[in-house]
Amino acid sequence: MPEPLLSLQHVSKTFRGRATPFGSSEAKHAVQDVSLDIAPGETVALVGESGSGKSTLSRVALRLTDATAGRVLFDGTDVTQLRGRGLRALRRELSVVFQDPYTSLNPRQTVARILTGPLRNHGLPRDQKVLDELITSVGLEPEHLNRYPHQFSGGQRQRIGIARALATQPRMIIADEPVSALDVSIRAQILNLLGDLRDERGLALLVVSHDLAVVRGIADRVAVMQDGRLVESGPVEQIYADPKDPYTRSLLDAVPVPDPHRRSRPLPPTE
Amino acid sequence: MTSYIARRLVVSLLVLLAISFCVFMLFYSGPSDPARVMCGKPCQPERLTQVKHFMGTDKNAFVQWLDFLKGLFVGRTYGTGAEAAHCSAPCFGFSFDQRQSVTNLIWSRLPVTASLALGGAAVSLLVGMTLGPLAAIFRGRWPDALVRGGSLFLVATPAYLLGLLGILLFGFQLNVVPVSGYVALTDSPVDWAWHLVLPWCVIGLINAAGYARFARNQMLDELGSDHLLAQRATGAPKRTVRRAARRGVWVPITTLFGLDLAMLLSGSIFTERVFSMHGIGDLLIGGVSSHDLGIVVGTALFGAALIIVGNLVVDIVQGSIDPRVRRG
Amino acid sequence: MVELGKNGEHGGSRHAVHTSPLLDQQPVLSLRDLQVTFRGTSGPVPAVNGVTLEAHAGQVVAIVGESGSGKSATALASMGLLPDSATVTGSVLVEGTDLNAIPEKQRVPLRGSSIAMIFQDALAALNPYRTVGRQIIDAYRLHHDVDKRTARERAVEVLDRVGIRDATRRVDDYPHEFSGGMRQRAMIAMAVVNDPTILIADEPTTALDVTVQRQVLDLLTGLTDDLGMALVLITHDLGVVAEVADQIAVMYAGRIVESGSVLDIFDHPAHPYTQALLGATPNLETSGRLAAIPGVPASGTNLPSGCPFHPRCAFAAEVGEACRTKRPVLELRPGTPAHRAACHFTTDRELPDA
Repeated sequence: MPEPLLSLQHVSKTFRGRATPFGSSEAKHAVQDVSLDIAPGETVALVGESGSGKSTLSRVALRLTDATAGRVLFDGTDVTQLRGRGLRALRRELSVVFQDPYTSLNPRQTVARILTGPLRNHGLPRDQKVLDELITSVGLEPEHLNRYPHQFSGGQRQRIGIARALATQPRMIIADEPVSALDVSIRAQILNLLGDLRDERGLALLVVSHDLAVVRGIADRVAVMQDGRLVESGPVEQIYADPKDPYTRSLLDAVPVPDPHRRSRPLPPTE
Repeated sequence: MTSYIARRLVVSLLVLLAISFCVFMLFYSGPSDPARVMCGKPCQPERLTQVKHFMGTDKNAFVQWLDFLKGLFVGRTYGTGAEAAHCSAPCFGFSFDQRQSVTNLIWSRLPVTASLALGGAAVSLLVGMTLGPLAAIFRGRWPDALVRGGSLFLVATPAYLLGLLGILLFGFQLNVVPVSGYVALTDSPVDWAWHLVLPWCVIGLINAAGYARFARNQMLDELGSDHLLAQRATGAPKRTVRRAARRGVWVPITTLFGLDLAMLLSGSIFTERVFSMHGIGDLLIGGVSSHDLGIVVGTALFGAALIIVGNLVVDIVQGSIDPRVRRG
Repeated sequence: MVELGKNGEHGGSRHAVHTSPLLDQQPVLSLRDLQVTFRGTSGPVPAVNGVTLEAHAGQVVAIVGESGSGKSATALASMGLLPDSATVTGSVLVEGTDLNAIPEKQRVPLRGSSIAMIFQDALAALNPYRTVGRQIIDAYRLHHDVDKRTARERAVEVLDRVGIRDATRRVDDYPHEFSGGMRQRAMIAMAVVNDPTILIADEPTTALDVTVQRQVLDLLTGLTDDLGMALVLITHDLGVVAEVADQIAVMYAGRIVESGSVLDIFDHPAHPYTQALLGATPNLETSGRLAAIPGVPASGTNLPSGCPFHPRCAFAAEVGEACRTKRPVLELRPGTPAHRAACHFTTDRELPDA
């Protein structure tokens, strides 16, 4: 196995309780002792139900929140304590695509401005040619650069979000539920786009999702979380064909199968 | 619950301490020297020293602040012998001009201000909570336009202007209400209310404008909410649904109301001036113009304390209306 | 066979009533040439354009569509719950009464008792200031003249029926004290407390985790069978549809583009959109690329000429001009009792396998 690009080592994250007029809430152990490696160019799917800690873990990896315990290594460097310039360097190499393309783009900025943001932050060239290349790489046209987010459909907005993530030419992208807010007919477009970009650019991908069906086609490896712990991880074929953990199996069993011949409810009578 | 209130009270005390320090330093480092004002003109240097000693302003500001705090809890006595002036706890300071403790002054003015504040707040809540939801129900039609236009007009109108217009119209032109002065509730409840009608309306209407706009928007949110749609889906008639929507409006309104009431109780400067009512606002203005720093610091702190207590009360009331706040 | 509905100018209405051959009793819900138009800032926006469908007791009818398809407007129109900014024409026959032809005053008593509805977001659909029990009790007493104690007993009974454990105690909890799955159950309890004949479920499992989704679907189909309700399930998820639906209507841009039994739709899709949707649905077995549908979904504000699906359709080029200029009519497939599709390409042939 090659040297991992991103390595989460025994990561834990606890949220402290909050005081209210009527007592204080309990501390929440969102992530407990999770270790996960992602190799360069590899796609790992982080799967779990709500409250499993998958989103918190991705935020720890992105350094959007700090781990309570454990280390995060990026390309061999401990980034857990990075500040200032070091953190900026990490942000250039590791970018993010958010779930909701409706709230994650500033409605008062043109697409061009949204895309130049990260370029400016890192002092990278941001001439027209760069922007044209960026926007076409996600399947949009250069003339879209002068428009505002509300002029686009959900799928197109998510393309803009992906273009923004690509702007600094990162080595890895973390995508948090990248298609769950999109229409079914658009999901495949966006998943295929992510897969193509990964193949062209040798990107490593961490796709966070609650839907095992969605990540089936794109992931090399799958990691399953439950209640803050990693219950199983392995190559995609093995997880889907022969899950070891009973929780993984129950998740797979619960996914609706788009084939009426295999359902448990009786079929309607035919003539 | 009890432990929460205790904790909040401790925090509130600390905040008040900090505020008192800031207010104290701010006013006492200002250009006006209360001792010089007190000393009169001409003022001999020896006399000035005496006055300063008497007022306690010969010590440094920090020690003065500590004296002030001590006064709050155990009271203090200025000077000695026949001239001595006692200010019993809680001593919010002493007005040498009026030879009275600020606590007494505030206490004597409180009925006026409280009458103004409670009545005005009641009017504003009544008018705002009637017109706001009404405007929301008639969204886009003339009642809505009227309420929105009217509230915009009122928000932009200064209290003194509205007060003066009211006096001109109802006092002098129509001659239906008295235009100034205050009659104690205990003397004559009728006269008390009669004298307050106009100022209540002024304070009430100006604040009602904010409530109406806020309540309208909240009501629109409520009316568009899924839970009211779901309620209609069970077969509830529109009347029932609107009643439920109004309840949803009360929760955020409470916050606004609690803070507004605290603000009003700390004195309405313009309204009191316009209607020649000697409340706390009037006391503060008098203190400022006569360089009576005791009054200025005392009333400022009194206002701050009210706001903090108001905040605490709002949080507790909020919890009893909204079950989601109750259990973290 | 039931008589055809009125033959409007709108394509979808020609074959007004889709009968199911084995269910010869009257449908409990029947939409006929339903049209919904919203007043927009720049003119009227059509949301539903000539929808005709029916649901029988004990049947699960799925309305499948994406954003802009008009499926939610169809649901709200069936309840008579659209805002004043919407104009509804056509008829909504609930057990024979046209909801769209009677004044609101007469609709109110039918809601909840004849036709009830559940929503996607149960937390939002339950009143945060009232206990779950109180909301169910209120709903029950709207239609039953009983005292509070009797209503409370009924609330506990129905909470127990929807699978809330320890219902006697949980009845006094507030919605925020319930877990996501339990809230969904509580909302279902509130909807079925009056034994409605029709339950409309608007994306009832979309916001849920898969394990909870499975339980809620089982609950809904169980209630359909036990109470003999008609369940109108509105969803974008073909997996869910395959699991529970008896009849399916696929909507696109405010119209039904294909309808039929679950086997008609999954085994012999006759509209390119249906087929493309099936191909684009992620599943547990296909690895690698999914067959994406190009372009963006059409909607009332962005309505292509002719067949609304033509800009995204793989077969439009083969058919040629008709797709761009002429809207296809929903027509019965030859040799089938009730499989209909609105497509120029498949009027006289089958779709090639995807």
